[in-house]
Amino acid sequence: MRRWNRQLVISMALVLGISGTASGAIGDPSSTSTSYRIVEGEVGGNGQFNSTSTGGNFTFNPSADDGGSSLGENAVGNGASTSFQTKSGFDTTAQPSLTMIVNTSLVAFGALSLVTAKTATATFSVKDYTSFGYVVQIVGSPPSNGGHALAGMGSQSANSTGCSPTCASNNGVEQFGINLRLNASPAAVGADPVPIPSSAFSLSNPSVVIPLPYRTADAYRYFSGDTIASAPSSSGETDYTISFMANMSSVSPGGTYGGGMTLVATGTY
Amino acid sequence: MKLTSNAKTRLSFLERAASWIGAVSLILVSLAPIPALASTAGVLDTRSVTPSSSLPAATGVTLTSVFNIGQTANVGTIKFEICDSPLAAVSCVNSGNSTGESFTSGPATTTGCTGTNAASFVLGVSGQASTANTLYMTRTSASATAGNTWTCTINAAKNPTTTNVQYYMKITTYNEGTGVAPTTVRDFGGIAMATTQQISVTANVQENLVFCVGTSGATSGTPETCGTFTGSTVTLSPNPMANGAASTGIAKMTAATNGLNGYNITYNGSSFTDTTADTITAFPVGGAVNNSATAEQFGFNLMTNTTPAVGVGATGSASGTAFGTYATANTFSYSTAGGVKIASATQPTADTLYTMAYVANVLATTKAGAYTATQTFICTGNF
Repeated sequence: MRRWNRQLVISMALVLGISGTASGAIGDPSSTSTSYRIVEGEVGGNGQFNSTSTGGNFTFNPSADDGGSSLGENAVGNGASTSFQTKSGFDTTAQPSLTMIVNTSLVAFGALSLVTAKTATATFSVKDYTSFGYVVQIVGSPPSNGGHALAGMGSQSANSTGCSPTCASNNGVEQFGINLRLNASPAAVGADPVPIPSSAFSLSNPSVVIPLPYRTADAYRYFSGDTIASAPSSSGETDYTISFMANMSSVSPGGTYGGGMTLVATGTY
Repeated sequence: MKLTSNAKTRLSFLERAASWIGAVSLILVSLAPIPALASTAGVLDTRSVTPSSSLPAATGVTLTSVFNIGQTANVGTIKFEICDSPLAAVSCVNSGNSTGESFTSGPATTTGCTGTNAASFVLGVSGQASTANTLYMTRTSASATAGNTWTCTINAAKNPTTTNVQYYMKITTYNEGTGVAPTTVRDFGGIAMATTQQISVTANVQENLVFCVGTSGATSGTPETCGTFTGSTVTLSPNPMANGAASTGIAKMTAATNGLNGYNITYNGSSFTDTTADTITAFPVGGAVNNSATAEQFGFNLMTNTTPAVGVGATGSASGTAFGTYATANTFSYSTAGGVKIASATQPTADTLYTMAYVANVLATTKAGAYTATQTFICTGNF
């Protein structure tokens, strides 16, 4: 009788135990079917810097946010179709992530000239995880003075290509434009996107991450709301350099020009 | 209790049966679907939120969210939350990166949602009214089909206050509609967003004013080269002046500026007098030439004239023009009052080349002598 009881108790315990596992908390937006869901309940992964478990029982604090290199690996494989994607690795995280850092707060051209184009740069970084990619838009008017804004270069409709009369620097013609490439003209300025820590983890091919209007070296354009950078899938950190270029004409109103631009990053998850 | 051998045999059978029941139960349970995790919530996929501004603490921000419905079901409420974490299991708080965000500071409004089956959502009220970090859109619960793409717009939100940090929006759809507490989750999705600092772009354009006066050497170039202008004396012809025929002469001046409001050209002029202070009378303002030898006249304009044939109107593609009575052909003016405006531009302009057309008439009684008048032209840029 005791053996029978013992077997019954063990059986029920196992049944209840499995049932208990099945009734775990509804939680993270992870891989899901109508019958099953895969939920990550761990502290976090390398993609999640300084993560801490909900109850505070576990922490995961590498000494530097190096993408996980200090933890022995930082590779997370990505498999994707047009509808689905998976992340595979030792330490993937369920938490969507979008890191957008603008490293430059002031772009100063100095005094514009009729005979020499002025250039300057600004940099920003984007890191995006568990997504179908991201887009970065630039929003803001060209620098203005008393109601007169420097003329933005290019066909003036969103994300259009081509310029009139030209996308190239033209001394004596009022122009304001940007691109995200390493340029040789009108001066050596800018840099191509840089993958951090390497292209094994981060997208950086200009043909992939820079939309056409801002992809051509030595050609410039500016239109508020344009997408200036994008990625079709998750990516580690990519460091971008915006090259600014400005020319003035003889009738560009004298004075100090100023304007604020913001970069808006949108991840799709 | 003492058992017989038959009883023991029956118990052994029961024990074996119990073992089989337990084992089969384990197998069945192991193969059964996991009910709770499969319970209700689908996933809003291909979801994104685009803020109109990523500036910290920006107000009036429009949040445009796009997502695909995860599962076919009635949807009556959409809950939007701005939080420190995107995870459904983590309560929405704003003590970290999302500190300072607000749906109520505006307060936020909505234009609802667009897309198939997305009609009729309005801002929640009463029990579904907005709080600092939560905004509801509600409607009478209606069907939504998996794969429907909805675009929902929230206006007048406020961004978190910290620069260069990521924060999150959580979107949850519920079955319950307007006036009913939302409890039955249909779909869920978390989205990462980020604040960034603004890039300030500055440049300076030096104020410039090109103004040259001379009797010859104008090139009509743009820009005009003042260095080519020469001469400061206009000798009227015929010379000496004769009763009954006007004497004429010209001088040139060019002006250009990048002054935001253009320029004004004025002159200070002295009387047309000889060395003994005899004066040839100036034209009245806007007077016509009188060749009938009944009046002394001296003046100029900036026009192409036919009576007499002298001068040419302003040239160049710029926007400078002659002003007032100096802008009427065949009428001339002259004043010694000082600061008399003769030309202007109202905006930044390239070079305009003006021609001062001088005219003088004398009477038979005009005293002989060498008559001279001096004008000083002044161009003032309006920056």
